[in-house]
Amino acid sequence: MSSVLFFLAAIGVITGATGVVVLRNPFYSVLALVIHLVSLAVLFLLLRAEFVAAVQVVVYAGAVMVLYVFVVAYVGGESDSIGERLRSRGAVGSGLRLGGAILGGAVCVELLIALLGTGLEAINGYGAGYSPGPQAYGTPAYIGKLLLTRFLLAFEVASFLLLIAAVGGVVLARRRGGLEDEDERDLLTPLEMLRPRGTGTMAEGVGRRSP
Amino acid sequence: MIPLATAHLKGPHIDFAGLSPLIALLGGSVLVLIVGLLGSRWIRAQAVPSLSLGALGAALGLTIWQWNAQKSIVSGALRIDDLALVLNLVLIAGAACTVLLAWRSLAAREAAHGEFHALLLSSVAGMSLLAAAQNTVALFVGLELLSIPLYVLCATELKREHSLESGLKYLIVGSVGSATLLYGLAMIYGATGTTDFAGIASALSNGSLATDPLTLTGVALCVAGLCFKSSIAPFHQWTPDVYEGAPTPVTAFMAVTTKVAAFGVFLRFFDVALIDTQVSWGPALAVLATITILVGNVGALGQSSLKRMLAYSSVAQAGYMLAGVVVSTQLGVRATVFYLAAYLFMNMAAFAVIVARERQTDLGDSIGALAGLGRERPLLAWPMTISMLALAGIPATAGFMGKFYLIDAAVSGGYTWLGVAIVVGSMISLGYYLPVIAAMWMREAPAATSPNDASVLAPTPGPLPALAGGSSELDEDGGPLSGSQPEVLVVAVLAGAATIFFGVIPQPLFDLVHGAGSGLGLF
Amino acid sequence: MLRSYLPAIVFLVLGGAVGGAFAVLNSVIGPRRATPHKQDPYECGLPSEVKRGMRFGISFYLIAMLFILFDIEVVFLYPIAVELRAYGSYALTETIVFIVLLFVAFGYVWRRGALEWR
Repeated sequence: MSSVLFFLAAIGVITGATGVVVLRNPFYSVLALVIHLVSLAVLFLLLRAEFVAAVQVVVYAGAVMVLYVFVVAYVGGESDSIGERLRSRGAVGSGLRLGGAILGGAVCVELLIALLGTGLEAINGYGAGYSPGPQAYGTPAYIGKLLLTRFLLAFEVASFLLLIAAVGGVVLARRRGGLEDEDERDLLTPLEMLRPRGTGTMAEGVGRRSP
Repeated sequence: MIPLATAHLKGPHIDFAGLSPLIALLGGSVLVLIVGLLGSRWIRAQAVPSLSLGALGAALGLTIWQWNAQKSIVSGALRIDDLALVLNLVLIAGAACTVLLAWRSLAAREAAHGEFHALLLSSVAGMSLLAAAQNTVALFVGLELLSIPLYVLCATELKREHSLESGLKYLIVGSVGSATLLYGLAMIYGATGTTDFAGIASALSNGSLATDPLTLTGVALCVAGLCFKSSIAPFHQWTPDVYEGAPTPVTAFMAVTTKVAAFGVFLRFFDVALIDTQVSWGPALAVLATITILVGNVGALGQSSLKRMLAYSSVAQAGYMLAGVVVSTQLGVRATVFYLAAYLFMNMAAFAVIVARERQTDLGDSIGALAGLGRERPLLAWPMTISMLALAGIPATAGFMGKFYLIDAAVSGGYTWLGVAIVVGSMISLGYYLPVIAAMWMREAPAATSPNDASVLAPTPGPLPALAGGSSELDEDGGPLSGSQPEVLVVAVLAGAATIFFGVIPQPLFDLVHGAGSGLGLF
Repeated sequence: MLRSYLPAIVFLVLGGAVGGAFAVLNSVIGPRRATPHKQDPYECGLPSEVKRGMRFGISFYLIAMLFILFDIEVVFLYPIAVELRAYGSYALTETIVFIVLLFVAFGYVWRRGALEWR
């Protein structure tokens, strides 16, 4: 049963990844990526990383893919896909594509040598000893324990990282007229926010804040 | 009902003293962000940079307070030792210079001051984390905390196309670098079964794991990822474009501090965790260093943009510093750290002058902007001259001492040819450093540099004009910045003076880096 | 281990089969009488103004990105919540620090007006 599932998922992973590269319409590429990520989640499940599998579906196949679709819609549809543009470049484009393929093939061969020709020390270690239970390796409880003990610092810093990512996103998005320019906007101070509207303040007088 | 009463497990001991510099930086970042949201325009433009200087000062004080500490904190995630503390000092000094250079920059205004400084401080926090990290998870989180704010900072001159291009290029190349490094770390974890540096080292020290293909592939991917970050050839192609396009204060920050953080990782990760695979990565890194020295120095020849020239020069300097990593001896660690400190002073002096000239003339960062500077503004010309001489490695500058130290380390570590490569590289480098000096002292100033030029910068130290009232506010809002800029001049003069000082009397800096070498357990 | 996922697998297979069957049956046995009105995106109402090359506003992108950030925060909180009993007030403190930073992000985004639709 596991091996059947493994081969099904593995076929999905490889087909999806190939589809991302080969398909010309970026929307289809994104959909192929969804197939890839969901199949990857099944592989995680087979590795008994249940929490990671769930996160993979929720965050990547769900949220990140929505973002990708928006980005594709924002950057423009199928008419001028990157593949087309590269193709139209002639010699440079085909050279780049050939170079990319050769480089990708070389990395693939190297990784296969590494993965197949090795002792895989971790599998001989505790990775193989699996005992089901609420505290077992890869369960949410186990990950929670790790986050609270060994990776406490990474956990807290990750929260800060997300804060900074939000700041960065807002800074960059403001440029495209998504948000108003800061100097024109003149933020309200907390005091001003508390004040009732239409009481004849200077801000209202110059039309900065409409009653 | 009350679940907390049934608690039976305890968390790890958190050493807040050891964490305090990091907390100061992160807290300062949040504070600056909030103040930037609330205040009036004056508060935003003046109080926010002052606050971030304050946060950097607090971090500096707390770092010095922790001096001579030797401890692993937060269940072994960070190692607070002399290496981490010295690198912290260099990072904080670099960030403080950047805050001063960016005080009245267009970038800080366009991105809003609060955001700009919050991003800057969090990037410094990421670097500080990286310099101290001793497990791979903390390493990667630190790397991302360093990189993500920098991607945004590069694009902060939101209306200039080159700035956006620079941000986009850095984002893509940086993400590829991060992903490569992460893949490498995952493979090393797969091979050794642990994320702690000490655990990796002990796993590699017994048995045949040090020659295992999985380990070696992991090491190779880590080398590639870190080379992307520290712009070592052949992973350096992004550097000139990104450095040229980014706002100049941000370029100064990137050029100096990312190198410090990346070499901090090189020293700790490669010389502690992967020391038993040194026979594999040592020669590879030595070859990379040689290629980098040649590519950087040859690329810099004939560049007309100063920022582009300094970008290639920084590639070459990264090659020099890699020599200290390759030999993996105490001497090598000391030489690398010494050179990082010297590199801070040399580059900050040069970039401060570029920032000043960008605001005074409309020639941007082309070499023509410096023409005739020697006669017109000696206070700007001298730091630039010193910086160029130091970068080329002329005696009586910190750059010479640093290179001398590095060559010493390379030769005594058995890599004589790498020392020769450093010497040859320095010789080539005169070909692009000297024209800059010649332009300043031998060429006449162009007839009309800028309409405002007459009123600009009589270097009278005085109170910041913005403190006097609203007039400079108006000044800031219109046109290219042209008021007097004492803070930029201070950075230029101090950095230039420090370059000379540590070139003539290097002993204090030697003492400082001495402990950094002894803490890692190398020969 | 896999046995516990059997219901989920059966559910997926059944759901896929039923959905697929309807789609296939519809195209096989459904009547096909195409009129210009039937070919419109909306069969009734005004003709659609949307052009093929239309670009989405950046607001979609920004909201989606912010959603991901907060989504990831919740993902981090989940394992901690499972272990909260075992670690007690220590875990609670750490979570509070985490959530305060989350609120700073939220407050920032709100004050900057990134949540307002434009």
